[in-house]
Amino acid sequence: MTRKAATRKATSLMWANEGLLDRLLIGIDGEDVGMVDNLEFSDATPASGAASGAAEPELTALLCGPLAFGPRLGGRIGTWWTAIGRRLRPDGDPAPNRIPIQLVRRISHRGVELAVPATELPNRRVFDWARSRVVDKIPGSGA
Amino acid sequence: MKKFLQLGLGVVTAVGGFVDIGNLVTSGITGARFGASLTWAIIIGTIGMTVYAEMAGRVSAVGGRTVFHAVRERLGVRTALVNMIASGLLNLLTLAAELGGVALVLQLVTGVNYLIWVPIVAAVMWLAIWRLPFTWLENLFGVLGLALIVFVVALFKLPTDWHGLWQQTWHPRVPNGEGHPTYFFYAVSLFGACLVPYQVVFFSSGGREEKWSPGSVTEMRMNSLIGFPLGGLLSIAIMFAAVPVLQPRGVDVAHLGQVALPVTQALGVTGLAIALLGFFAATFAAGAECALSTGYLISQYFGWPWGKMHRPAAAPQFHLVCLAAVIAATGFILTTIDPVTVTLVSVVLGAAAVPLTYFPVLIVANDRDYMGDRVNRRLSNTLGTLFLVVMLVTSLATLPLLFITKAGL
Amino acid sequence: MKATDLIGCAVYAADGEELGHVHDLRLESDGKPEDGDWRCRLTGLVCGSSAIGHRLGYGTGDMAGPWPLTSLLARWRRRSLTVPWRDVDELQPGRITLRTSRRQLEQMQR
Repeated sequence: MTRKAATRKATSLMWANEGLLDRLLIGIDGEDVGMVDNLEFSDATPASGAASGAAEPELTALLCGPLAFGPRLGGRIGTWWTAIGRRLRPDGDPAPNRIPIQLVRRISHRGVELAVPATELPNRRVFDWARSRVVDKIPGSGA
Repeated sequence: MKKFLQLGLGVVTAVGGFVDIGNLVTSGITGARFGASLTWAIIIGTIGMTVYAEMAGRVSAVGGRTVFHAVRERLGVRTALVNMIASGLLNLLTLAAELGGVALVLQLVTGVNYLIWVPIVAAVMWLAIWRLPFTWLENLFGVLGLALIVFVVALFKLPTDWHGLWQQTWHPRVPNGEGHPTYFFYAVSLFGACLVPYQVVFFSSGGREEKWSPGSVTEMRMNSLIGFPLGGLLSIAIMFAAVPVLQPRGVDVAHLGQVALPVTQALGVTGLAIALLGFFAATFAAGAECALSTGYLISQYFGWPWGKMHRPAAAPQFHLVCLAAVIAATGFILTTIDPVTVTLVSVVLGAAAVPLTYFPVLIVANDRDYMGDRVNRRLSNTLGTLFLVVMLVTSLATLPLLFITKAGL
Repeated sequence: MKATDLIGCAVYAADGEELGHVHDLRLESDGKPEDGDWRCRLTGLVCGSSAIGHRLGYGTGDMAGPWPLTSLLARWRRRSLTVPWRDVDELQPGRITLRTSRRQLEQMQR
């Protein structure tokens, strides 16, 4: 199959499931940040009448963490997962962690490479919890 | 020269890493009960393991993908989650078996009941995971595991009927007095002992730990294509050594000590000491690898930072999972459940779960976007597909066999 | 709107014919992220009976084998339809209705 991307030079094609979802997020420091659990698009009402093509939604953010992962699982387990994710958040905010699309530096075969280090991203709650509650209390953790 | 040493060390490590409690127990039992008539199961299992380890290593070195990144990417969140849970539980079972194995060796040496040793072994194992650098963990015990070569030596000292072994290997027949289900149950167990899923997870993640690059493919191939087949040969040697010693006496191997009996008969106490050192190193290393693999696979599924290349504080979830795995497995084996039974069940269930981990590896190894011109060639694909079919058939047959034979009794 | 609001939805043509479920989203962008100011638009929904080929990478990826899968999944892939976003008429939870029929869609893909 010939690649459509090659025929129209400026436009590149991508598929959400095949190329973006469940890819590794990598900080600029090379650290693993998480997985692309879901995608967020700008709300676009379906085109009506003559205004065709004008209303294509835009990809605005990559979502990650338990609150984005739960809906991916779907069903009862997904709901359950989302509920746990919500309880882990101190502010009770039901919105998942967003990584605005402007932070994407490169999409490579390794994953989605971001323009900021892992420490500056919002989805470190589980990391921080595991670190402060358990790992840092054991001698030799290198903290 | 240094390069040669490094390559040699890699191969030695792969040999030592291949043999674990599963191989020791299944080879011992089958040698005593079925002679050499099940050698084919080890041969097929070893070829499968080698083909898939090479693939997983290549995907890790060239594509930068570890097994569970590939699993999630290709199977989707839900299937991959089921896969992760199944592989994780299986790892716990295997880890429990290895812990029991190390403790049994210590019981043989000291005479102190293995249950006393289990928590001590677990604590030391966790400490090794926590503190020892990755290459140490891998190489030290890999080299010590080579002590198992004593079984090959013993084969030459014992009145081994080489012609008979050869005959049974290439013209296998179910021995008199054994039913077909039992025969095939033990075939599956040998197969599963060679193909345990944690080894592929460990091999590919270990590649990232050692910072493999596309230039490391040769080194990786040496490790997998030479090391693993030699490991398979060791398993066969353990099986063959049991034939002249245990089979005539009708010994039903139910304890790790009986596996070492042929070596004792051939080489005396020195031989026994070397064999036990080999048992210890192989099971201890395998236990640590198992615990690490559990950390690898869960962290990779969720995209958490993982690995011994980080300080524990920089990969806290990973270390938390490793710690939890060791604790859970310790608790399980402390229920006084028989470690040999746990081993048998773990390798047989492992054989059933193997396609879950191996299939995504086969797929990603064919993706030119990741692999460039290092994609699978026809040989890898033919063998890989063939083994996948064999593994699927095995995995479908596993549970019925397990119930019909009541775990091989 | 999230990807999960679309993926898995049942898709119906204007005449009520069911076209399958959405199993992937087609994204189009001008340039690549490394060029800066990267914008990515959702231009189509891939729907059909089975998502497995897409999931495994046999949808558009450059796969070298293994043999039975490549031909089998390529055939499945041909049976799936890409619906342009501008043909979407109505979005309801779990259900997407189009303004076109299957015939019109198939003609466009040719």
